[in-house]
Amino acid sequence: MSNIEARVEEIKEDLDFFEDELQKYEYIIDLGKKLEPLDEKHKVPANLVHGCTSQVWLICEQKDGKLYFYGTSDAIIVKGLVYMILQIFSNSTVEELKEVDMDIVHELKLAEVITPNRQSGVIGMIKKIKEFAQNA
Amino acid sequence: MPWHIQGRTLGEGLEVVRCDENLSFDFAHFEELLKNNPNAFVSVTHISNAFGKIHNIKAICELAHKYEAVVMIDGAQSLAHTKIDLQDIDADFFAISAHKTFGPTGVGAIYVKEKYLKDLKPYQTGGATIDQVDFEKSTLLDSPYKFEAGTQNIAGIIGFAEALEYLNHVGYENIEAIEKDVYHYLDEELRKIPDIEFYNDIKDSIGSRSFNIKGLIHDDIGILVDKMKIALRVGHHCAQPIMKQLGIKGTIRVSLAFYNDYKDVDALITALKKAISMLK
Repeated sequence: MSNIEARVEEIKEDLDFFEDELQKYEYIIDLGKKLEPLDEKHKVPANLVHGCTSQVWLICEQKDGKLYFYGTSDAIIVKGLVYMILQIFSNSTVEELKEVDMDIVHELKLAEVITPNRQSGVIGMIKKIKEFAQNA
Repeated sequence: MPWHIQGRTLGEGLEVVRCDENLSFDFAHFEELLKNNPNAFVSVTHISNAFGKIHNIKAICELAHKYEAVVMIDGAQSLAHTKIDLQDIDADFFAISAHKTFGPTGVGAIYVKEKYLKDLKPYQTGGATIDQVDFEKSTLLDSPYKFEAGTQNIAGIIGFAEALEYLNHVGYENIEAIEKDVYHYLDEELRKIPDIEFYNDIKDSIGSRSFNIKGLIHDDIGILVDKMKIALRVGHHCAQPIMKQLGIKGTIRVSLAFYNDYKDVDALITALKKAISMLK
């Protein structure tokens, strides 16, 4: 199991722990609160993620052969989703990111929690991360 | 949008009547526009879908007619809430929608003053609209046939008629009295929520109440109350220009019909408070 797959598994386990939907949301909101604030200078149109109903900004930094991602959103629940995606993909090598071939929305059973619009936002984030990896 | 599709842009065949800080129709500005734009076509909503604001369409028609303008009223949001007397209002066109009036989707109706029927061209042609046709020319049947190309939405039309019968059965006097009462209760209860922001008072409003909670994004509230089985809409409600004018991205909008009661409002308030406490 790759590093990325292991991280997906961890988050999946955490989400599966909550049977009640509202509790699941409380958990996602708490994750969003843990997200490091993104410097205002990065909140520019070029860093916006396409496909999100709320505004999501995502940036990438390359250090010691690995890619690190930082991001945020103006909506609190989406912030939680950003946190999850960053946890999964940040601190990975370009090769690891290029090799990822899994349906994260399906794996995390996000379709049960978020609307198709927000699912496409998560897909948009992953697409941008893969673009960063392709161009690194 | 329909004006843009026609190639009209602001100042070039399209003018927009201003509203005041309570979202009320600015009659002085309207009159100025009518003076400067002879033979205008005026299109206005009866009740705003985004804020529930009721426009005085009788006065709008009267003023427009003084300057020989033609008036089209969008009554999609009003028919479910208030009695409409088209003879009294004197509108030239009045459009209604079934799915906003307890009827099926995909069907609506438009009232057209008889004097405009003859010159009005259908937007599409098809079976059962044609009087004579050959290679040189074709002629259409009279109204309403010329507007009813092809197979009609038969089930939809029957359903719509039943919905209107139902409204008449309940009675507009009852509908208006119940809604006004519950709408006032909704407003009172919402006002008790800390940090709530409204954009209009409820003096001339019905049906919808639009607001935001300071520091929170409407999207988050919408998701959470949905999980608590409360159906409301968040976002710009297809009314982006007014949101832009107010400097907001959207609102949380609660919509009431005559079948809603105090208990529904109480359930909404409980869900809203819970959502706010989760997010703050």
